[in-house]
Amino acid sequence: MQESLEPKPELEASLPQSRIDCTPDNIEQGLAKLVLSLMELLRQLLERQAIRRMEGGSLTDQQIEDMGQALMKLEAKIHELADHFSLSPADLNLDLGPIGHLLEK
Amino acid sequence: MNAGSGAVHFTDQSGCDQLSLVDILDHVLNQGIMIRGNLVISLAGVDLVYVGLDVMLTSIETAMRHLNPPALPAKK
Amino acid sequence: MPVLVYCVAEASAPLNWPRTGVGGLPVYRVEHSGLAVFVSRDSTSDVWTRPAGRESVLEFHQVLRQLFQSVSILPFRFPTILSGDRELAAHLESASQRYKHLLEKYGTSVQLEVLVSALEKPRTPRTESGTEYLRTRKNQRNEWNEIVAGLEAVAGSAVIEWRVRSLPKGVRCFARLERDSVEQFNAAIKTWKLPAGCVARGSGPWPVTEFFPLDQS
Repeated sequence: MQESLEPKPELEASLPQSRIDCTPDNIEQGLAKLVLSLMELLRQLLERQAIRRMEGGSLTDQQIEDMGQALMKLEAKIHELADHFSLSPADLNLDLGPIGHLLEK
Repeated sequence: MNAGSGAVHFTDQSGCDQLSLVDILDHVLNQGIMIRGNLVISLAGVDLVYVGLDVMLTSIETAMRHLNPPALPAKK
Repeated sequence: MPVLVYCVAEASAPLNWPRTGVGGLPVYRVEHSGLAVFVSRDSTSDVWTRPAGRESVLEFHQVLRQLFQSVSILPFRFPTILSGDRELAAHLESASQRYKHLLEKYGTSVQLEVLVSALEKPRTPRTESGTEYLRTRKNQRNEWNEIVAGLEAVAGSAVIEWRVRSLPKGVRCFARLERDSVEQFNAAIKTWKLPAGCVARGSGPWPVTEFFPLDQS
């Protein structure tokens, strides 16, 4: 069994765990998947934090109302964008490696 | 106490029925050590962009642990 | 020559490892820095990099499973491919301390998982009020927290440690326990009363991948 002494160039970087495959026809959708997955991740993080702050008792009613409005609109916007790119909620669970664990199926 | 129809069904790891296949896929593809966390965006079969996620995901995971500690409300 | 990595175990662990892996290729045991790493080699990596078909995944899983029946392992994600034995050695050298530490720390642990989901879609709060929206979200989360607390109480002392992840329609609970506590856990779970409108599914035992700290070498 002959082992090459030099690593093949295309294997120098460890092969990626996730790939977004685009074609000229679907590149928008592929990129949208990535961006929306990240947005969804951030939305969930923000929602958790907002709830904690609300429970913490140090915010005014107006602040709570404003945070809630913002998150509500963000959630609606993400759904709207996903629809626009013909992405289902499941599509927003792109495997981003361990980050993907924060967005579950 | 009746666990009824809602009983937890433990799939045998060795089984390859539909239920455990989902679990196996998830474990094999998503769990386990990753040497480099990279995302690749390719166009028409040509790999173009590597997105290195290591730093970002470490930071977020750490942040998540602080924001949402895994421990549940203290037992009495 | 490309190397597919299955998992790492302690070199001292006695074992009978599966001789065939993904694509029917042989599985080799390579020793380095006090660790045993299990690999396959192929002149190209095509057989591992074509879209992960069911067969490849199951073949990979079977290798891990057979090893895990008798020893503690650190599985690699599939497919983890290195360019050759040199890169493999270099990686092991840099990561061996961490791997040894993990193998030692979690040597006798296994992971069981319980996935609890709601049968209906979660109610999206239909409201104009931001405050109402947040309250509904909070209540939904609290409901799930209570369900998880119930599960945890039922499982009791069999479990060393829990991790929980929120899902859109439920929660995924990971329990770390000693290998020989699995029976106790299974018996305890049978007494768990699931809340109405929920289903639960368990799996395992698995290597304790959920409990590995995330810092990569």
